[in-house]
Amino acid sequence: MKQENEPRRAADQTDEVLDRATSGEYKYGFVTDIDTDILPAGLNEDVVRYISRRKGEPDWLLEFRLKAFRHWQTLEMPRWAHLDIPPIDFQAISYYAEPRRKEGPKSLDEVDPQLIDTFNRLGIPLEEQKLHAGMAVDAVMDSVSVHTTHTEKLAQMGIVFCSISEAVRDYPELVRRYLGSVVSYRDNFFAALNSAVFSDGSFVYIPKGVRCPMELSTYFRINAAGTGQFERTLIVADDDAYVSYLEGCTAPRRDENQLHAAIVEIVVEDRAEVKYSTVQNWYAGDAEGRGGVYNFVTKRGLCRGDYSKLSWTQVETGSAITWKYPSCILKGHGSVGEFYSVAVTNNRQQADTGTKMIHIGSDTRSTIVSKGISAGHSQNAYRGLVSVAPQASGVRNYTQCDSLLLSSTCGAHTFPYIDVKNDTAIVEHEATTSKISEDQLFYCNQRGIPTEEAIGLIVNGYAREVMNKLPMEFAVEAQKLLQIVLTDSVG
Amino acid sequence: MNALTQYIDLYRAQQSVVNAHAPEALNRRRAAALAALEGMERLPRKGAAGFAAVSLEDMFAPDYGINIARVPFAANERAEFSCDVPNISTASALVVNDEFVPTASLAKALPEGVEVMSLARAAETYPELFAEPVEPRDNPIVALNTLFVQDGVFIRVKRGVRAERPVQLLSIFNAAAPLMAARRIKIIVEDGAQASVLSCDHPRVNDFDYLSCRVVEVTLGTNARLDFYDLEEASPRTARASVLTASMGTGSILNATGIYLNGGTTRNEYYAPLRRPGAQVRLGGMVIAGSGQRVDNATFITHDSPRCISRQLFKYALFDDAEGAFEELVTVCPGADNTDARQTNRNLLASPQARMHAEPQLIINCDEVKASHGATTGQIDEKALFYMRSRGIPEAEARMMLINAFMTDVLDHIELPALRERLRLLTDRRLRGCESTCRDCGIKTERGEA
Amino acid sequence: MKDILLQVDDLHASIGDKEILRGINLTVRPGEVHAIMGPNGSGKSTLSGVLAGNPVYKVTSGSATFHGLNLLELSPEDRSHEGLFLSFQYPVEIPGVSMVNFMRAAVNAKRAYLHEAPLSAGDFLKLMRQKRAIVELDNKLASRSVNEGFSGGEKKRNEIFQMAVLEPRLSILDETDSGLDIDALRIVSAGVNKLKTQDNATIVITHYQRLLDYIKPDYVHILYKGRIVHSGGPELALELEERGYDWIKEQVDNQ
Repeated sequence: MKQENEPRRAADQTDEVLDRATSGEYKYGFVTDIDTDILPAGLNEDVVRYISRRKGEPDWLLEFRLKAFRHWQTLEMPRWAHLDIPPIDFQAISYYAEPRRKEGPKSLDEVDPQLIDTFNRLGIPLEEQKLHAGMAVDAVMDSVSVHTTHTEKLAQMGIVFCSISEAVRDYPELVRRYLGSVVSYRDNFFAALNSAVFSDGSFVYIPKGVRCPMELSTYFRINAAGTGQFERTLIVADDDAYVSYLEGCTAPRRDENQLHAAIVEIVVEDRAEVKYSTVQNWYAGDAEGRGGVYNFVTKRGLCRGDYSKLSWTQVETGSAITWKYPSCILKGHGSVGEFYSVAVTNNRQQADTGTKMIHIGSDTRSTIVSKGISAGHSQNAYRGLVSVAPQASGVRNYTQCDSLLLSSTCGAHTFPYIDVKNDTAIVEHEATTSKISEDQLFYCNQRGIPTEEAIGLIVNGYAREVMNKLPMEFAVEAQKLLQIVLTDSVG
Repeated sequence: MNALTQYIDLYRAQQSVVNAHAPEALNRRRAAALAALEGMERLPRKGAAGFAAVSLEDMFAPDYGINIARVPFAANERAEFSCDVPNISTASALVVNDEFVPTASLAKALPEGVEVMSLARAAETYPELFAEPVEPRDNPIVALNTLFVQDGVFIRVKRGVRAERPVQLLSIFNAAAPLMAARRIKIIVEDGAQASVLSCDHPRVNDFDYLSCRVVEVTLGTNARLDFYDLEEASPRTARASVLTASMGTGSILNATGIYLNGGTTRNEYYAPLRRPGAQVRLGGMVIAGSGQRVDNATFITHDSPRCISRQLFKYALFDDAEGAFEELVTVCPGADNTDARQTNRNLLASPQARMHAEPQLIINCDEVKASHGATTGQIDEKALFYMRSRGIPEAEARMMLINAFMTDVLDHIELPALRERLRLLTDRRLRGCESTCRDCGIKTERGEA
Repeated sequence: MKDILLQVDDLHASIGDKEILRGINLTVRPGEVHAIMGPNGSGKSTLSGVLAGNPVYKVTSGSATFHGLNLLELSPEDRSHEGLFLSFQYPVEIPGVSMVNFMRAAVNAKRAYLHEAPLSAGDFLKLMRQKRAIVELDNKLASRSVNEGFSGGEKKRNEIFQMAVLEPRLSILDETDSGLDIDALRIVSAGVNKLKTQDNATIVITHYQRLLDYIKPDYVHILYKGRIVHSGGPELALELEERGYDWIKEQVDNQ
């Protein structure tokens, strides 16, 4: 009898432990008390002109912004995602917030010590010697880049790594050539909004034949209240270049929602390779769903060159609402697109995320691995498109998308779209949905592993295929994050 | 003027004629259907959400006539038709356009406890069975059908009766002008009863452009079971917009297999909400489409009760410039514990112009579930092809055998051995590009013999 | 002098951009058994694939004549009809195609090629029964899909069964011994020996001497880096068994 009772007891415990395990606290929720110049809330042409003027931008960029703004005014917010988005008052948001600092070049000595301290608390030291040797960081607070490390060392190799505002000033031709070339301002509602008001973000250019010797990383922090963040990142890898780029983000705990509408554009030329990794940890709101960041992001790369490769890896743990589809346009012959994603939602979080693999070139290949983990009352959806153009022969796609349910009140959804217009393509899609296995938990219990720890093990094991794609330092970080989100006391 | 307003205007103008030739039980539903249609901007076009290959707007746009005054077509008097699925001992009935035409053998062949009759007659005889509106009410195909339906087929299997012999419905068009028919098949299988129904859509020689706007309404009692086989082997000039909708009792089983071998543009929708514990639905689909053909299957299965099972297996082989789409949505509601839902979609593209679109979707709001889906689109296995050729089998023959083999598991789900074998043969013939001939079936109508 | 069944001259073939066969010369006469041995990656399976007409390989130059016909011009199925049989190293599984249908299609395609009437169902089943006995193939396998769920031994026996049915003039056995236990090896090779006549010939491709204890070769060729680098009698196989391939590799690589 005892043996029979054992698994049942374990199962009963599971709910309780899951409850505890999934109530991890957000530890980046502090606010930095720093003088900030904030533009009054509201959006009109004057605001767009103000941002452009403030950044000292050339006329063509102001024109670009204004065209985008006028187009945005004709659009309505998209409603097709499996998301319950409360009405957003776009006039109640401030579109520019800048931590106050001295004018002139940003030597680290001139950066407000409080800012340095903020990034230290986030685990991102801005002193180069304190940083991991293989990493350069661009730190962005609210609307502006605070500091970029290792720029000189990279410059020696011809690599440009700076804030996009600096790039507009120092490399106007490069920026003008590529800005909006992958994500047009007409692309969607949020892309139009971002194109009108984007503040800062990173610019990366890797010249022909150069392998970037260190990970390039941008760390985004929303600090000021009542603001939105609209960063814009542009990465160009010229022929035979290689770069691995990391993106991290956090925000303070606030009761009201904050808007984050970013654009990331990537251009990959002949035989070049870009690895783009994200650990998204915006403030997710509290257990009742108050506050948290609305994360509406357009990320897209164009594999323009033959045999080019773009690999997206994302670990999505934060944000109240996530709307994000990092995509690859596989235009170059033999180009390769990859998308590896772990999306964890808990409490009242909602995520609708996935990818688009647009096969235009022949012999292009793509791989999609998506692991959704839903807990609490959250809603977690995978949405993906695999399309094969009529002229694209020899295309190969494999998609695996799995959902793991950790509570009876959460939702896990799968919305794949598969469009094949060439008869030589092989496109495969597999999906499974299951709850965490009682058998696995019991097996762990029987081997002496407590349920709480077992859940951590199983979830990390479940996500391993994706975690393995992250650069080492990031993987450790991401693993910890998963445990914080899901298994509070473990580790 | 779009297609929708065309039908709305026609109904408004001819309402009294439509009603005069139909029973009150059917007429009663028309106002709500009209309101539903009036609430729509237009019929979905190709590219609208869930309509990847087929445009309902285009399908309904041509200037079809509707025989609302129920003028007897002269040709009908000699209606004689033989089917491609012979040698199955069936009780059969003919549907000419939308009209139920009993065959001589029907009454004799029907087992005790099984009724097969004209829908119009049934609606007069048993108006209480027509009290509930057909779901989903806001569906354009259902609403258009409800607006114009005047006759059709009524099948009822009484409580506890296990009808061994299948009921066969042969649907043909017979009109010397383009015609739209609102076809309705209502099947009731009462508690503990079992039935199988084979529906065949067939062409006629000298045909015009036809449109079948069809609703198959299935009601299954507790532990009832229906096997529904739906063969489409119609003329390329016959378009079809069909909805199969099921109301499923506790522990009931619906096994529906749709086979498209020939026809024009087709859109089939399946709605199976599982609202009672232990209900099971198994949907199968096989599509072989060639030049100019567009075939779209859309399935909506909602698990809204514990211990329900759903299985879906849809396979497409597309030739020439055929275009196929498969949209499926499985929704698991909170509290639908021990749900077991599986979907499989496999597609072969056999020509550079063929197109396939798949959307295998899952919405899951319950954690006691086993749910999976898989969708692949590809070609014939080149290794197998070479292996067969190296054994002397000519390439074309080897391809044919491989496509037949690819389809085999859909046909495996057909429980009637004679039908299964017949369909294998028809599939093989279709793949060989033969026009199937309907010589040896020999089902005659009463009128035809008179 | 006997007729020549297969004459291969300076045959070059590649897969993609990679040249694998780099000038093969081989003459096979009726009644002969040739063994082609060689280390992994030497091109053994490519040679068998090229002779059978596998479209993944591209012949870049050279010729192959099969009892007077230009072999390289023939489709794979016509090569089969003309009497060339390849026993696959990895027989392909074909779900959904039953063995019976598969073999009937093969037999009748050949008969059509030879302008013969198709076999009646009765005669065909009789033929199947007869030939099954040669390799002790279980009747049950006949009703299953081609090679699907067959064990390694069953797959190889199935290959020899097909060979028995199709009665080829030239059989190429590609690593037929791989994955076989000793009993299966005995049955398979006994089957091959039973089918041997004065009019047909066999090419045995193998990595090991083991199979040659059962199927006695008249000639042994060593294939290395896409060329036949050594030919001899049965004693060559024994020498290889003793000394391995290294001495051959050294000889060739040092040239």
